[in-house]
Amino acid sequence: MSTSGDMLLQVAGLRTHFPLRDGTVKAVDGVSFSLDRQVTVGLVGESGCGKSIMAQSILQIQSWPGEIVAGSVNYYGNGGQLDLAAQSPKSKQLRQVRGKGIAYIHQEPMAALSLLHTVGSQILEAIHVHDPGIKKEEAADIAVEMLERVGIPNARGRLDDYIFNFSGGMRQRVMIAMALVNRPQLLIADEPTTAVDVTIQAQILELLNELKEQLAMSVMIITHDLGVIAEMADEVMVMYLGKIVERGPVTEIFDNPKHPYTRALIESIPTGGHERGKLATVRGTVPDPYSRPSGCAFRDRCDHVIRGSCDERIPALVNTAPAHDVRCFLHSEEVEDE
Amino acid sequence: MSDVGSILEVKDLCIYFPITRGVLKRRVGEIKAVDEISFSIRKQETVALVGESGCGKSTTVRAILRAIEPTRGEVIFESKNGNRIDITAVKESEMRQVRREIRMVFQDPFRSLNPRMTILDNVGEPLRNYNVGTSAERRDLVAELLDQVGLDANHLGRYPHAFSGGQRQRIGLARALALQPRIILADEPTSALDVSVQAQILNLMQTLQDQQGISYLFITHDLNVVRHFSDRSGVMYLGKIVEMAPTRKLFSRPRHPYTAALLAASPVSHPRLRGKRDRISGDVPDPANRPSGCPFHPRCKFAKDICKEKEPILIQRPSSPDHTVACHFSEELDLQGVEG
Repeated sequence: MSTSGDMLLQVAGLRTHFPLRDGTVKAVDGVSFSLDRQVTVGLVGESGCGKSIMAQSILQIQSWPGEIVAGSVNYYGNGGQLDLAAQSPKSKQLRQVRGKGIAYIHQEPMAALSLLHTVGSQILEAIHVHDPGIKKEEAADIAVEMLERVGIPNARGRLDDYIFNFSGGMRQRVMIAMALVNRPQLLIADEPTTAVDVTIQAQILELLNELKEQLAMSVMIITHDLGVIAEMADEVMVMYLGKIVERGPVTEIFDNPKHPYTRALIESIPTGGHERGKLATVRGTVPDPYSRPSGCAFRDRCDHVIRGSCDERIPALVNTAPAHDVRCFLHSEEVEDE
Repeated sequence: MSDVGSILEVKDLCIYFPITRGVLKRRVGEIKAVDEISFSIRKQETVALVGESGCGKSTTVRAILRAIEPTRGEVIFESKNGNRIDITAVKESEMRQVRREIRMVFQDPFRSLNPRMTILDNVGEPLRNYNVGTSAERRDLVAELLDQVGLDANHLGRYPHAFSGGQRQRIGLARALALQPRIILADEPTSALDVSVQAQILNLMQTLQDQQGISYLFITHDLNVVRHFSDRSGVMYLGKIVEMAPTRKLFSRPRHPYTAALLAASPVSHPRLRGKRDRISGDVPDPANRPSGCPFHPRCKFAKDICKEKEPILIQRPSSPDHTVACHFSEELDLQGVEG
């Protein structure tokens, strides 16, 4: 998928498990991919597929008691190489990457930002953490510059405002500005527009695209909305129950989706063309993590089950066309090694 | 503008909220949450109200059932026995009958069901309130309702937490259907759901409409859903309907710049359709500080002096009377729609 010089992140065999009272939830169950510099990758799947946990595991900020039980997350920032998965969650190395190398923005700004501190003090803190020697005035200049860049009018005057003084779209912009003050090389945006109106969504997505160019960063955008993927992504990864089931360049995925799950997701987008016809749906819902089917995890909801294969063995993620991988026995009989 | 065949007619509905100040609650102004809107719904028709948050679409829906008292205007409802009544003028005892025939489905399936009641009780509650049948008969009815909405009737004894978001929305629908309503008011019923589950719920709502002849008033901010689902659509902005037309007309040839802007803001369905489109800037203004003239003028790139001074009224287009629009330049602008 990439030449080594361009590679920013390489995740291999990542597994994040949650040991719970009723059993172990394998939220991320063997995910491998690499991400190049200045590329936008879209991570798509229904709720409960492990998209957010996977992205959080990169920085080891997944909620308790989730822990990485296998795999590596090699980060190639600033010429060096660091396996983030091998670091302790509280280690200095990991803390330096968080925010500075890789930044993470949440869906809901009101939950991610403090209500008790001004926007300015929170952004200054983010700068100070990575550059303890910086003068306050200098940090304020950086904060103002970034707020202006994300389109906040009268940025200097608004440093003393609280997050609830901003409107929905502006809150999202403040959060993006805060994530970007340290010029990260990768921005992970977890459902950044799910809670906002369409006109605001369009503005935010356009802003993210502009900032990606200006700051020469990579973006990982997590969403359940394939419309957002169609707008933003260069590459797409489709996740289902902790595994990547298909990935490839965005036009290839939309033109030629191979996994029945991807196909169903694309067909379930309502468009006018159906003319009151029925929408295609994915039957049923994501199974709960304790009753995951044997074999291919999607087989309960799939219309193309091959008996004797899909219910017994787990298909491997196989390259079927240039840069297009799919995990399905309809396309390859290769079985995943356990 | 009386509409033959309509079963619900909203006429010049206004809902104003007072702005008060000080300990004496001095009235210093009012927020016109809904300002003189009119529309009607026919039998087995789906009408959608679209707009950004704060445009008054949910307030409108709540006023129809008088969960919020309207300030002015009429809501004429034709009940099953053929009586036409003005909902805004009837006594509470008569509202009971209205609320039996007009039911609501809410956005958040996690909060609209009582977590301490089983599914049997949640869905059966309206039946009990209206003294329908004996306890055993109600149980059978609820089982039948669950079956209709595609849930396992053996799950009667379970509590809401045991169901996924999509399943809970099905339960919400079953509850709304229990009293065989004429109209269901659906406030963003699929916004909290995944796209795949949304498709299931929309299909279900369509099937129920075909089988039972229900009308829907559908509130949403998602234009893709509107385009797929509704027969006629009204676009709301700051408490006003700015454009209303049969859905296909509205999408293929919008006449109000705000409608065109909403269409341009919807995500594309294929990466090849990407590209710069006309975005509108800014947020919806604070309804307490309405812009002068046309409320959309500060965000409108076609705005001229007249737009700042004079508020356009909603008028029928000369060439197509089922298409109404409130814009000074609706006949001159060449706005872009979407194909399909």
